[in-house]
Amino acid sequence: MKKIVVSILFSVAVFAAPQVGDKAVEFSLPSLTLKDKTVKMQDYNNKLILFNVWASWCKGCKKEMPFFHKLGKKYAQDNFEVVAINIDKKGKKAQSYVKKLNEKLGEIAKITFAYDKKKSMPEAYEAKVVPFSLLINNGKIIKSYYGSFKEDNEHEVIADIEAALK
Amino acid sequence: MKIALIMIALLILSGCTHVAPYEKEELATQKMLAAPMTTRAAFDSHVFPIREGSFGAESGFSGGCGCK
Repeated sequence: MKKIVVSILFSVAVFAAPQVGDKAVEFSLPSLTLKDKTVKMQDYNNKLILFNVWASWCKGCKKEMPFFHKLGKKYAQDNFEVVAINIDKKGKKAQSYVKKLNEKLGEIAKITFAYDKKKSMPEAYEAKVVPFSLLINNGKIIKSYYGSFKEDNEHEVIADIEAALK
Repeated sequence: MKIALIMIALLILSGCTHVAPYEKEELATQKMLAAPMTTRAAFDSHVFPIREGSFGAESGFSGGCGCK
């Protein structure tokens, strides 16, 4: 009996979702916007990234995209990037949203978009909410954010980015 | 009898499933709204009090003809 309990606890510990302080989950996903391009976690192992999981059917996700674009532009020279992973069933919907976003912004969004049809990322992180974001520095999770960024909490992630870039 | 009840219970219970937030694409569509057509919803809320005689139940009401 004791052995069973210990092995259950061990398996829970082994398969628990990554937390702040843990290594980010490796991924290799097709780009949502660029043909024949693959977005890989290993490309960001020496960078600071804001990793975001979003869907075109999620209003909150779409609302925070202009803010991500601002972040991407502001810290482009600082080895920082916003990586947004889309989890739509059909990538076309998400692509048309990105097209509209670019039109609205008047330029190409400074966000790296990847497409995760199998929803492997939210599954790996056991997402309790969509959208969710992680600040990942050199492959290690340093902060997690649940729900969309609004005017009242945008300063929080800006402060975290600036602290990580120091 | 007991087995039959257990089987029925299992069948019913197997119909329940946990839907993760990232799997709610279908639930987020327009057709899943309680009132999927906004124009129709306005019409319904206009006609309902007249048909049911429940005037004032939803909002202001100004006549019995349904014409407002």
